[in-house]
Amino acid sequence: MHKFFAVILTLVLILSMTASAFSAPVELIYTYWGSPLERDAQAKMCRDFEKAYQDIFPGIKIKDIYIPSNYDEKINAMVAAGEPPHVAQLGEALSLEWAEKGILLDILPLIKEDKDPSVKIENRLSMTWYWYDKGKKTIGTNLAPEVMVLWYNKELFDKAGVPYPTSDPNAWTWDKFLDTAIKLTVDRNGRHPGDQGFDPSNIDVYGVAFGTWWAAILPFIWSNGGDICDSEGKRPLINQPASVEAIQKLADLMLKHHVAPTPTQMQAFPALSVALQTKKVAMYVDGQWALLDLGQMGKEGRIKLGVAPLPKLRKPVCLELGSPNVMFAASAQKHLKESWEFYKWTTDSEKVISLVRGGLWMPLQKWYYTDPKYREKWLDPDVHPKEYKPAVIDYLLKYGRRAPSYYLRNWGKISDIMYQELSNVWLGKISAKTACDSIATKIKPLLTGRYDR
Amino acid sequence: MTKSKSLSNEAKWGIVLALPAILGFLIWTLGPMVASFILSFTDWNVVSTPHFIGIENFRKMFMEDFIFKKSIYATLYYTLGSVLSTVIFAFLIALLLNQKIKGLPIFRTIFYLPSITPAIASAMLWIWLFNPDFGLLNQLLGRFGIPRLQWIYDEKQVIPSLIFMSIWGMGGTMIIFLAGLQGIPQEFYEAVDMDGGNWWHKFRYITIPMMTPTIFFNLVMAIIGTFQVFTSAYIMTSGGPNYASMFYVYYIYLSAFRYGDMGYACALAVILFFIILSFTLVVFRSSPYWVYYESARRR
Repeated sequence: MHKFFAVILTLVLILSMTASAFSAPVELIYTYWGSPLERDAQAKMCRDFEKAYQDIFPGIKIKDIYIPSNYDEKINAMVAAGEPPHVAQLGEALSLEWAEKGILLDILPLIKEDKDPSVKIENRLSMTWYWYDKGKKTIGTNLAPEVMVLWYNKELFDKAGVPYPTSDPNAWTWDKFLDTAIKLTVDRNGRHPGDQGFDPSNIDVYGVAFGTWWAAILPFIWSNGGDICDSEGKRPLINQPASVEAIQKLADLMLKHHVAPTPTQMQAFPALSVALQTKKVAMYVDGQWALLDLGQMGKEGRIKLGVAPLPKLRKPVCLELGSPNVMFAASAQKHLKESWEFYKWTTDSEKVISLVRGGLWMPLQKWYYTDPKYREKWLDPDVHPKEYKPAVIDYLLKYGRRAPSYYLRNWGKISDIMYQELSNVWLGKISAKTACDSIATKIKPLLTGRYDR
Repeated sequence: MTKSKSLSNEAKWGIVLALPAILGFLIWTLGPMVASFILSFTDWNVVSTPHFIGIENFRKMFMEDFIFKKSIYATLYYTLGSVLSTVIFAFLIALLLNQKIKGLPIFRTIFYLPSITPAIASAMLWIWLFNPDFGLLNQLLGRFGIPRLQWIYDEKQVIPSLIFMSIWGMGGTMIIFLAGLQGIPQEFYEAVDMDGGNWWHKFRYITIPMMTPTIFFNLVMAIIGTFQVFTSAYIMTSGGPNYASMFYVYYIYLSAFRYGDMGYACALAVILFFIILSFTLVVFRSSPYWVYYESARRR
């Protein structure tokens, strides 16, 4: 009797194993981070894919794993355990390093074989491609491009009788910007900086606010003709006069002109978007993605939102950034066809149009930028301010420059060093020059070139 | 004959029943420790095969890495300050809470409460307290005409500020002291009373000597725990300003997960192991000179 049961059990085991091996539908793993809104939109994108491809890949399933925090750690663990996702959003700092080690898939051969126009090199914003191996391979593009812009509250401008910032990046100069910021900054007694008796410790409305992370600072360094390092990524330029001057000018906004809050003063604001809406800040430097919150406020009539390019120091520059969506070689190669189709789907802006139209993401495909028919699909008049096209789209197309995260080796460490050293500048402890000299010495051994050259 | 057999039987069962704990230690503690020791001699980055690179990680650490030096300084400074002040304050508070006063349970609860607050919640709270522009601490100082401090936003003030914060979370240490205090037999104090001694004599010749084993235990635990401080750097300061609060474990974390340099992170961890080991050894070796056990004779 016992023997009989054992035989039955073994048979069942063998049967179920072979069955799963032969007819199991493919299940792809997709990991990503983001706000709860992004989670919902991305999950919907996965369900849409399952439906659309049911005929081609019967039973295909996407296991979408939303990882809101400690993302890099968890991906590291999945890779170490030998079960990387098939397709994933990935931090810039890890992406190219892993690409070079062969962890990620070079998708250039796949692009060449495919006829789908949405994935062709020439059809996506050229800035958004992540190149490596001297520019001969690519892991693909951003999930969505983003740029740094200047958001402002029109009501505060109207009240102060100050003209709105111009959408023309060439006419929006630093002097005009500073003048505007001074006029909009008001202390508790209604005085402006420069007035008799202005009280910088009791400011009611700040003219401008900006974060102190690299993406909020770098466009100004570039605009002044400076840079972190030379174009080969070998020699530091951060301590050259043009770079130092730009950083000092930003620090002066906080410490000399008192038109911007210091990082510690900024803690009074729950979020910069809320500070703008509650009229504590008149203008603020942030990513295009802030439109998700700001656009919603505008839609509900809680803010009269405006957007402008960043002011120029010498020449206009628009910083473009964004993390890539990638395919992991080990797992994607097992189900290459399915993974590739899904990868294309995730980076086809049409498939996540709700996030694009909601203001969070910008589209990847060029036709959204050039073809009015597509632009209509993108721009929601209730969300996107009416100057959005000249102030954001044209600004990006004409003056766009990709962030060092696309090409510079050791970027994570370099940007951390900059953040740490500059923290004393924003507090007025040391000059920009002193900090930049120290940065230059410390990043020198880390400047070992670029991935794409 | 039968007796010895039953004993060995008992030993067998003892081991079997302790097996989960023993296995847990071997698999989850000792195993990773050995692995990380081996990996510290490699360039492992989690995703590709590790290569043996000898002592390169350690050479880099001591010869080139300026963050390593800053993190050693920050961690030692913090540990010294935090361990001493926490142990002293916890001891004093425990003494007070050992008195027979009204509302004792309430006081005990209040003083213990911070240590069961989730680390992240208390870190968020202290960020607000420390804010130079509108934080409660500067408001208080302002009342007494003391100029504003920059607290965690200043290179020189950040570690003292975090030490100050750590005192707040001394509840666990305090409870152990309290238990120790209550374990001192009342007869000893009565004897001092009979001999005509005052409170100082009781404190100096009864309480302190009787408490030395507890102080010793708390000191060792505090040293081990404080060296591994992480949350305040991770949540509150990002290791800044200018690396002034780059605590060692936070730097291990950055190396491993942000910079993807697991081999180097393992090497850092090995060094930390030896630092903590040496500090603990010093305390242990010094114990015969100041720790009194009732059962033991002084050497």
